[in-house]
Amino acid sequence: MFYFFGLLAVISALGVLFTRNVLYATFFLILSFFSVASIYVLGNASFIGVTQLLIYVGGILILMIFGLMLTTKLSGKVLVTESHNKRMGVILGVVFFSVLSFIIFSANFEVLNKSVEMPKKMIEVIGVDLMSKYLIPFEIAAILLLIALIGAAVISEKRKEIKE
Amino acid sequence: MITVQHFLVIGISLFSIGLSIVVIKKNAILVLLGVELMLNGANVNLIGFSINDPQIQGQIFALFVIVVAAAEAAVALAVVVRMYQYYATSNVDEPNELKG
Amino acid sequence: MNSLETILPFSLLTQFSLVLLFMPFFSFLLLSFLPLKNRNGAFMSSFLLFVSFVIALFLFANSWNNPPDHSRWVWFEIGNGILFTSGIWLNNLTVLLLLLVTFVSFLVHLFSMEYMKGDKGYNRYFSYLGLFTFSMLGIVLSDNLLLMFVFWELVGFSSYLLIGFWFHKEAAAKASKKAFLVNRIGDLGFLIGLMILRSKYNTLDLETLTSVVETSDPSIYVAALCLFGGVVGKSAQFPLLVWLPDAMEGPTPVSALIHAATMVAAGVFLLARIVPFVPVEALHVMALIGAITAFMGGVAALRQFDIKKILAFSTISQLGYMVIGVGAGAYDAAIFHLITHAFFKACLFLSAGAIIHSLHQFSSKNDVNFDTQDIRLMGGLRKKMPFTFLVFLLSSMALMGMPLFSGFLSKEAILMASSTMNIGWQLVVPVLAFSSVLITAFYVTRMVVIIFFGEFRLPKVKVINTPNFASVSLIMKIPLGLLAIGSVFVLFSSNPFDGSHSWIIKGLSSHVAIHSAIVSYGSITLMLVGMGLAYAKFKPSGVYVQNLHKELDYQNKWQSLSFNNWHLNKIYDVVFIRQIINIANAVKTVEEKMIDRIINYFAIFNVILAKFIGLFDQYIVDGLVHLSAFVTSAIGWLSKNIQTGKVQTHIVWAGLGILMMILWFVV
Repeated sequence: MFYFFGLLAVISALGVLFTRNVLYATFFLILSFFSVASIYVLGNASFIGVTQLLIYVGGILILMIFGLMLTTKLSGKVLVTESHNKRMGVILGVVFFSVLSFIIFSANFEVLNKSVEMPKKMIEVIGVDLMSKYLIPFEIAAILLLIALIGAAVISEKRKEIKE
Repeated sequence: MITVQHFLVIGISLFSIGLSIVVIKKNAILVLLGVELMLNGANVNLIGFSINDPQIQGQIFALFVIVVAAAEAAVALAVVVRMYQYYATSNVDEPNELKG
Repeated sequence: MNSLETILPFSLLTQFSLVLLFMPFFSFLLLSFLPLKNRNGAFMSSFLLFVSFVIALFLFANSWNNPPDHSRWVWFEIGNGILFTSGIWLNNLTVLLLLLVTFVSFLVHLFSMEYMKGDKGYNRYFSYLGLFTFSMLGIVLSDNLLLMFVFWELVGFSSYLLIGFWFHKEAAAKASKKAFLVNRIGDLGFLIGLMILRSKYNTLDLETLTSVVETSDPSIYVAALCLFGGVVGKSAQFPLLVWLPDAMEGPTPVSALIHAATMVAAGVFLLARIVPFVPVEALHVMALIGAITAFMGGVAALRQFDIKKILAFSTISQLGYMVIGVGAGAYDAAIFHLITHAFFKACLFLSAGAIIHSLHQFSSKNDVNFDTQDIRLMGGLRKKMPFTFLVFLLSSMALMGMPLFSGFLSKEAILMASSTMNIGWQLVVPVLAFSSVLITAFYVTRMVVIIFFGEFRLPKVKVINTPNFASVSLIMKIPLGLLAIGSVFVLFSSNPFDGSHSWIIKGLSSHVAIHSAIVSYGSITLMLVGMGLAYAKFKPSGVYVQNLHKELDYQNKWQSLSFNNWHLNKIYDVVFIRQIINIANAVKTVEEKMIDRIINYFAIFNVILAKFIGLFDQYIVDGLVHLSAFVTSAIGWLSKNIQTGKVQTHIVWAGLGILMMILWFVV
């Protein structure tokens, strides 16, 4: 299961990279995020997986599609995006991948791979921790979201003095 | 047995692909999608590091990353919309006022 | 002599003297640096001079016939223990001269306020007067020869400035230069004398020198004659007397102050200071020089037509008398003559100034141009300027040595002293001195008669429309009157026929002056003869005076000898100046032919060298500069390409940067 979802996530990400149709790219990304959510669940983090589904797939990507619609002239044609910097982009990605995997495979992870007793009720632990140990980051995150909300509204507001 | 390395390999794959998308694609929305993919790669790493951690700090951190990513996506979309209004395009290579 | 013995304490009188000394200097500074309007500066400097005069009176009252007051301090030190001191020495001689200098200077300031009115350099004139007075007081006050030499030079310098005051006149500029250069010859002697004394006795302090010098030492003989060289220059004695007549190009009050009353007398003052340690043989040489000067000056005065020139030559002659006095061993009589001479000669000069001033106004009023100093054009001024006539007559009497006047007393004292020199060649001295009496009487009578009696001769030459004179203003009359009073005997001695009882002579020396009736009667007779001869020749109704306005400068060689001052200028020109010019020309030839050529070759060599350096510069240095510029621009071109202004390119570079960091830190 893990390998399947992992492969699915990587392949659909590559699909995003290689397709020229913007809508297809978005759907490939949804698929990729689904797979990543499954990986979270398999990695003993079911709450994060659910959050991933809710926020990314349900929120961010829908938002992205709205953005796409707002910024392209809908004329019945297939939305196509062009590419540039292909060489640089591919080289950069490959080099990053190879360097990081070289580091991963040369590092020693034995301590982290030792199996330990995990708490039964993961959601309870997360809830208790968020409300006690991580209260201040939690609140700051709330404020950050509020600010982002207001900021987004302010930025995208139509101002008359800006002329084309 | 699934080890940390498995997660890490998936994470860096997603990260590298996201980086390539960010560099290659012209459409601003797709660039944003690439950024989200990179963040997901990082999150996969965090989850992987917390599989054997009873205090699940990695998961909490992933949670915050998701929150910040949401905020970032909102602001970035607002910027893209604004850019579209100003330059009448959503391609990121056309505004080149930083050219030296 | 160690430094502890050297220092003498500051007394109250010294402090007063310093104030007195710096008052005129203060006036000089203020007038030089403050932009004063009109006559404010003159009033101020006259006031400062008056303060000086009052202090001088105070010092005189405190010091006359009291023990000398000497303050001394270390001036500077050369190397290890070679000390030079400076100080202030107040004795009878000093305070007497202080009084004289401040008094005459004050009166001249007053007189100049009117005389120089309307001149462009009004303030400059008064500042120079202040500088001169300061330096003169410095000579009088200083207690050692070096300090005195410094002020001596300052006096020469301010005299140079004042003679050349109207420097736009070529004659004035030349005269000032001449005076300065001729004085320099004498000052060289002074300096050599200083060196001899210093190396021999290790001090230049006058009081110390007086006590340590032995007059039998041959080196002191040389030193004294060298110092006398300075006197010869400053007091216009025989070989160096040519500068004083030319110095009359300066303003007339300046002639009165500097070239009659004070500066030229500085030489006599110096002699009086050093006389205690001068050997007798040197004194005799001085007396001879003085006698020659007295005679030559008198003869030269006989046939001058410029009123100031007559007075100048008369001054030379009288200075000769003073030097005779010192040389004959009666420096007290010399100083006495210095004082009386200062009064009557200053008075004569200022009267001449008044006459010139009036004639000048007269000429500008009538719009005619003539030489305002030429006595051939004067005459009959007795009725036009009665006050000036009176004071001129009084001081002329004193100059001739008429009994009842001050000049008689002092001249008698000198003649008396000279009459003691009657062995061998020394007999020349009294002979010349006595004949000068006759000559003096002759030219003075000529001058007075021609200027003041008879009729005004100017209308014979020029057309005059308004023949009335402006009267002399009060501010000019006051100095004239005060100085004329100083020509009367009562100020100096109660006995009008015997100068040896004068308080000045008694104050200056302890020995009893001899007095012989024969000398008195002889000199009076000579004087009367001179007067009679002159009147016979120059009487107003005489043929000579009737044709005077047509008289030439000279007609025969004897007249030429007198008019041209024994042709001294010409002689010096042929003997010294021509030779020096010849040497200079030879040097110039060497310079042109040899040194210039060497320099030219050197220059050519330099040009060639410069060409090479230029090539080096062009190709190597400039090449390096161009290379570095090229490298810089290439780097700039490369890095410019990185900055495409596109966001994604920036991301590529940022990503590469992160990779670098990962490789750096992790691998």
